Amino acid sequence: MAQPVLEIKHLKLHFFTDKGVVRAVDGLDLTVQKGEIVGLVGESGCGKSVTSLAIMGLVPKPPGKIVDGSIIFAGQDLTKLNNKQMRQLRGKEIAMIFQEPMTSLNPLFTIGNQLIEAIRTHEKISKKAARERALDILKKVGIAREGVLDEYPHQLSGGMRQRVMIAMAMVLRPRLLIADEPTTALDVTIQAQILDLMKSLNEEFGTSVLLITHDLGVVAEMCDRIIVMYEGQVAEEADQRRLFKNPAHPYTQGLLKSIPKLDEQKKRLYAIPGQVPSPFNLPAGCRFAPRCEFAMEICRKEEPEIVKVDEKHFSRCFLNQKEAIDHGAHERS
Amino acid sequence: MLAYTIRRIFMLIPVLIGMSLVTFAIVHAIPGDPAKTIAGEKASPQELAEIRHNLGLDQPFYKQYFLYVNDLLHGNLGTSLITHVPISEEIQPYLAATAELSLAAMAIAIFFGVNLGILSAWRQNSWLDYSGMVVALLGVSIPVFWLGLMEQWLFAQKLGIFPSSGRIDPRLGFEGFSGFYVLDSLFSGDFTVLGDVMMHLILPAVALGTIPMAIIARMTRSSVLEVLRSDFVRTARAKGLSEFWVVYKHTLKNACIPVLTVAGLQMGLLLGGAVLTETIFSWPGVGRYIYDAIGQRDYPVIQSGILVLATIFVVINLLVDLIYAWIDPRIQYGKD
Repeated sequence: MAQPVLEIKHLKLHFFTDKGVVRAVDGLDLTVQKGEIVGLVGESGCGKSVTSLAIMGLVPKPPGKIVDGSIIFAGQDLTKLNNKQMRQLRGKEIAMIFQEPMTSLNPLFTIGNQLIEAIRTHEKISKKAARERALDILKKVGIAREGVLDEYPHQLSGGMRQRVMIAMAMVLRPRLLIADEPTTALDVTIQAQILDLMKSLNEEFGTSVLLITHDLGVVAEMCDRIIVMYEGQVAEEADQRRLFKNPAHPYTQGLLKSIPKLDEQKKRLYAIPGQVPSPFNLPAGCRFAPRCEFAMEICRKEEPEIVKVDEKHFSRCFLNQKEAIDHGAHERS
Repeated sequence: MLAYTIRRIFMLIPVLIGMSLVTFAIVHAIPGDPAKTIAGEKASPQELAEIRHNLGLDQPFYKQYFLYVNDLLHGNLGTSLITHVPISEEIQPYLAATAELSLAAMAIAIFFGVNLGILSAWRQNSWLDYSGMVVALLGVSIPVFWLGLMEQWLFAQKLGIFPSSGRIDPRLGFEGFSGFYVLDSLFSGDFTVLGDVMMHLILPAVALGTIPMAIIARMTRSSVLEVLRSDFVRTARAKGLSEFWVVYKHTLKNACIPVLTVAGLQMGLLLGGAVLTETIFSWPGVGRYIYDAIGQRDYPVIQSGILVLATIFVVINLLVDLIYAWIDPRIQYGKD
């Protein structure tokens, strides 16, 4: 297979706070191939947003620090780049859109100013040429009105602003787009439009997308491959079809069960029991064990390794170890 | 915006009426008799009565006030009881001197205050932040007169770098036309004079600018800290912008509204509150003009001097309000 666009290897990113060390990302492995849409799923606080900021080199340091691992992007280890080198990649090769379109644009500058700035930060072209490119990309994201360049963010709706954010991210045709909960703050109808737009840009430009979300519905619609995170680690990784049809990790099973279904008559919705453990006080053994209905003796003592359960399907659970052995597969290379 | 500006200017009218009434009433409440100031302690009751009659002081309070306002509306600020020169004429050079000093002090305060605040916020909880805030704390705590005297002692007396007082070396024989010596010398192309004027300006401007500098630094720091946490700053960084642009373009513009408010208020205070600095540095400003008038019970000068300062204060704050709308397009004054 060709070299992946992004390859995170055993990334450990810890926050050193007064109250103790928070292991926000703790041995994460993740790859994104060219043109692929990968979903990164998990509850709030599981480390998915921190992962995205780590890729962008935007984790505040201190208190954050990458203690181990590497982030290989297009053959370069991002953890070894200095600020200036990182800046040259940011916005040009790796772009990012955020959850809050209402506040992600600077209220005091026009859309045009902010879009043109994105272009001219990386390319030495005239303002006029940049303006034309800005108009071009706005058309691609479905804003055909020229006047929008001279408008301020508060004059646009949330969906329009997110389109502008996408335009700003895509205008330099980055190799990787990180979308951190891009639709969470939008109406359902607008959500679908934004997702469609991202998908079509992904197809047109061949940009790889790392889609971070807690919404399994979004993932089902968009992603080729899905990575489920729990407490800074990958719990399960599989392609879309396998994950939804045949989830291997009890956490993923719980997440899938928590989706309300229309044809169900049950009065109460299913919820995974217990709470996400405090990051200062992680349980010994498997991090999910205290909430897991299948937890065994070993789960509370030892940390499970991630194992292959099927073709392109990995899970971090002792229940899967046996299956893995049956499959003759070993720890993931 | 234009409609708002006009409306705001009309709104100044009641404010100005109120101010004139208050200054008029307060000055009349001051014990002492202007007639005695003019005629001297030994004047006979007839003489005093005559003077009072001529000044209109035997009229009822409200009539005196209306006469005064009538004069004001005709651009007549009254006449000094001591020098017999119309105040509107007499006050001009003093006003120019104060304006020059205050503007210089404000320029120093804004430049150093804003940058100190930005640096402190940008490197929050670092030694840079702590030392910046110590400077700011010292700045608000040091009395102006003490700082002025220390400056004179160190830079004028010991080191001899700057002149200790005055606006200009009288031996240069320079006479400005507007009262703003910096501008006058610049326009006349006389750089020897310009240099001398600048040297005279620096010490009092630093003394006067220290407190506003410190206040602006603290305001800027807290305001920038808040803005640095906002989502659009993260967006700006994600675009690959350098920290300089992130801070000076995206953050500063958003952070400057509270800073501007403080700067406007401070500017107003400087105009009237420069008396101490003006006294220490023998700066012939409007603060000293009024101060001297109080000592001499020159009532018209006190009254009109305060009114002029108060008017300037109000106008500066109006300007600040108008600048808000120019900076922040979300402020639509037309629809309030």
